[in-house]
Amino acid sequence: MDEDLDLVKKAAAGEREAFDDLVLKYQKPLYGLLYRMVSNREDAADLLQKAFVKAFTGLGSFEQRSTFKTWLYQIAINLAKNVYRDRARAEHVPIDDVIIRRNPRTLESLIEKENRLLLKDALAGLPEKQRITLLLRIQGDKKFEEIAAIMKCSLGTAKANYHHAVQKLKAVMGNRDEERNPLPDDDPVR
Amino acid sequence: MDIKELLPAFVAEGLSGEDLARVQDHLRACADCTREEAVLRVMAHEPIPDPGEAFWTAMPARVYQAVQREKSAKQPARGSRWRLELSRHAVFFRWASAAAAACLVLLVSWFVTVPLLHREAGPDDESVYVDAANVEVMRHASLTIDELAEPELDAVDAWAASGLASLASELGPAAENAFDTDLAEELAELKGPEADRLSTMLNELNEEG
Repeated sequence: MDEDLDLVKKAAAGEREAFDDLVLKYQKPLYGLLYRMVSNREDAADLLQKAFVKAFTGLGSFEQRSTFKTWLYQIAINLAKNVYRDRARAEHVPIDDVIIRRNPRTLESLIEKENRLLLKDALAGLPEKQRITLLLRIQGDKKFEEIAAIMKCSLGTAKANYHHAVQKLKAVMGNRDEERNPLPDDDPVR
Repeated sequence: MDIKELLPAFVAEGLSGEDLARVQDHLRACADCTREEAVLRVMAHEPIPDPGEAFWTAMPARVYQAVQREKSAKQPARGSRWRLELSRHAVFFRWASAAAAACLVLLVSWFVTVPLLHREAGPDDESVYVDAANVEVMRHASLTIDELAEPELDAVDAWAASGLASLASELGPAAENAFDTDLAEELAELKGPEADRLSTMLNELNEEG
């Protein structure tokens, strides 16, 4: 049951208040996701507006096969993908190899936290679907069923993508821990 | 629910009660889940630059205006809509004119080809032509072509050429072209029933003549 159905119908009919309510409800979590995907404040703000505009101008074609939230997130993710695909084309590198973070100011504020930096680099190196699944999951309010609907995949695939992403990041953290605290040569684990 | 499925909510401090206690107890004993929780915590707590309250407040209005601009851009301008209607009407009028012209040509050819004078059978194998008021216009003895003398044949030929030529010009280029074709070719193209019908008509004409 789409909790937003009533608001969507009113917004489609031209009711300004319903329109504003939907924007206010989703703008912050959607902006958070978009920022994590493109790591640039201006790009994230631009994508946020474009996602809402595309969703509202396309309300006539919204067939309610999914919830409005799912549909909105799909639009936003596709727009964000276009941003870093364009970057990949400009840099002539495979899409998955694009280093998403380009904003030195963002990096500067995070560089003090070494683990965070390491994880972000590892995140940028993940395949696109695993990365997006993980980002959707860490927002905290997304169940796997919802993630599967947004990513247009099965529940099992959504869980598998998340599991693989986390395993890779844990491996990076584990390797880092080993580098910091190397095991002695006579350790039975070796 | 699996502990790992609860971890993101735990990191986001969205758990309470029984679920919260379960996760906390589990993390004390499971190194793998602890590591996963650490990864999720680092990522979830990455600071996202806040664009400011003014940004959030203005976003609904900005989106609304952009949506209105998109909708206006998609609608055709009033002037062009009128031009579209006019061009549609122009096409209709063109077809209507062509249809009217065709009807006119058919009407004219009908009155030209159908005898205006009604023919009745007269005595001694004569044809009597009367007008609409049943007034006798002329009597004409039926003749066959082979009974005509040469000057009469020439006269008939001249009449056919002028009369049929005027008819051809009234019917248009299609009719003119038709006169250019060989009669034998035309007859050869007739289908069986059509040829039979023509033969019957000619026989009737001969019998009347």
